[in-house]
Amino acid sequence: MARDLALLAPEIAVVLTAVGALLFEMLRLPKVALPFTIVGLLVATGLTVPLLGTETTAFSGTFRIDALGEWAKLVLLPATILSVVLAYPEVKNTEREGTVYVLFSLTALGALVLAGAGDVMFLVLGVLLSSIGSFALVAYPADDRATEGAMKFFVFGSVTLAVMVFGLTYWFGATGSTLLSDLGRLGAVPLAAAFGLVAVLVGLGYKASLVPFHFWAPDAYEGAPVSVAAFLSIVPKVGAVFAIAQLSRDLPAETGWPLAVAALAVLSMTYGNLAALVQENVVRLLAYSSIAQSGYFLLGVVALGESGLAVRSLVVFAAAYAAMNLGAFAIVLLAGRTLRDFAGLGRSRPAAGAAMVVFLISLVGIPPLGGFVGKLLLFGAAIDAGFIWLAVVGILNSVVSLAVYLRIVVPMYGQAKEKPDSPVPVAAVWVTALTFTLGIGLAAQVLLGQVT
Amino acid sequence: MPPQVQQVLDTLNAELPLEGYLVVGAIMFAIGAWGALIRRNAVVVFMCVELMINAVNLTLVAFADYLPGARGLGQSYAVLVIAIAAAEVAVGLAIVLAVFRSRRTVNVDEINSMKG
Repeated sequence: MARDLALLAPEIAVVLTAVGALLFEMLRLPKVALPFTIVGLLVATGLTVPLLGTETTAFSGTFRIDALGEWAKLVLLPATILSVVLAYPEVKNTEREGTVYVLFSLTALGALVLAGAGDVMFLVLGVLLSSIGSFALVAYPADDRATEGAMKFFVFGSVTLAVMVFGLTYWFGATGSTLLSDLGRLGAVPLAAAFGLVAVLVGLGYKASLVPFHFWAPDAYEGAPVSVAAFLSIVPKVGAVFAIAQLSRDLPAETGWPLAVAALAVLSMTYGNLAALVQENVVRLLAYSSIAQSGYFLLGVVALGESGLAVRSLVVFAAAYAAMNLGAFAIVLLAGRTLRDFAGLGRSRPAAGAAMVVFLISLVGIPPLGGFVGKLLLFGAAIDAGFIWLAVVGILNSVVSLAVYLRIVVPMYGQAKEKPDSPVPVAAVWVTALTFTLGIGLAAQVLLGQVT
Repeated sequence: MPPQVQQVLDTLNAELPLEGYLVVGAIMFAIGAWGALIRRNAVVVFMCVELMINAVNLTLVAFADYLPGARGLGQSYAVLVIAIAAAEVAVGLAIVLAVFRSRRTVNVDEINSMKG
């Protein structure tokens, strides 16, 4: 028991951070809640480092402490910190400022639970925990658009969660166990196995905003504060993708999961990029682009069990994706939400403009940036696992995505307009994100040696 | 007691097979899902989702009874699902209230200004 609790130290630190920040909010001290949240999450990140390399489970096999779970903490907790910093200029001096920081911590905890799930109950709990906080975060501004986004997000989420729990019940009935490691027994009961697989892909696909469960994403992102959109496009999404990975490792191949996941990958990449091509609102454009990026993630999931590169590629791409996507959203917060707001940004704010170009070409996957290394590994893993056609679809989609991101870059170097404000927290976030985007690309060799 | 009555009583007292519970659960789930898809009032949609979740609970406890090896796992899973439904609906109703305050309607068709 004591050993299990020690293994969960980072998660416990996140919970304590959230509770502490909530206390400060109750005492009407939001200015303390913000630094408390940042420090608490940093401590949680630090507590993860000694766990690296541990491959074990806690609480009778229900929670996994493995490479996926550990690296999820190392990627998602810093991403949460940056989202919190980004949120500060948007929510400061509003009525319940402190609760926003608390909800960020709790939602991140849900994503961590998903990434380390070793039991179907943890999957359900993780989806719920990472959803409930997100609904409230989206609805926070309480205006027409925010509540509409939250409403669509919620209705869609509650239905998909019910479907997921219903399907998982049949897995429980067929195996007599809720542990993911017992899913191997499903080979004997194909009908229950298929039913549960469809249901769990609906539930987790919703969280990861995979096509065709993505309808909520553009509306929720558009209605939400930009920092919340950035957070939603990274933390719960990576958590859900890693949960699909945890699940797929134990599913017997005869359930057909590799093909089902590959189909979702093709749909998400293709539809995400094509829909992004026609958006006028940059937040919606990035929402569709993040749907496409979840498709790329699935290439690594498909390769699990077949290729030694799979876990590595997932982790590296998650880190790169978190950095570049957060950076892009930070620039949106600085410049404005429509393509017209980006006109002349490259001239009026040369540094921020150049950073935006770096984030966008990293999202395309051009060397030597972080996004390139991540995608290279993902395509490599897919080819290694025999899914050459899937890698080809991925590469073609990367070419299409170049056109998507150029739609933002081109007006940036047109006629200059008035200089947008650049609040210090926003600048701090994009500079950090830029450092990581470049750093992951350049230090790929070092990083690859460490992720096993 | 006439034998026909005795026969009916015996049938009623006999243990139902697992399939009976599963079929009822599936029907409840289907009714809930159908309602969630076609009803336009957000509060009614929530009620339909509750029906779906309760279908899950019925199925779970039926499986738990049928699988003696699972040692109460099914029941604890059902308790978890009940807690989830409660937490979800609490946030959901808060969102519906916020929507109603800003738009004076809870019709999901009218709450659709963002498209694309």
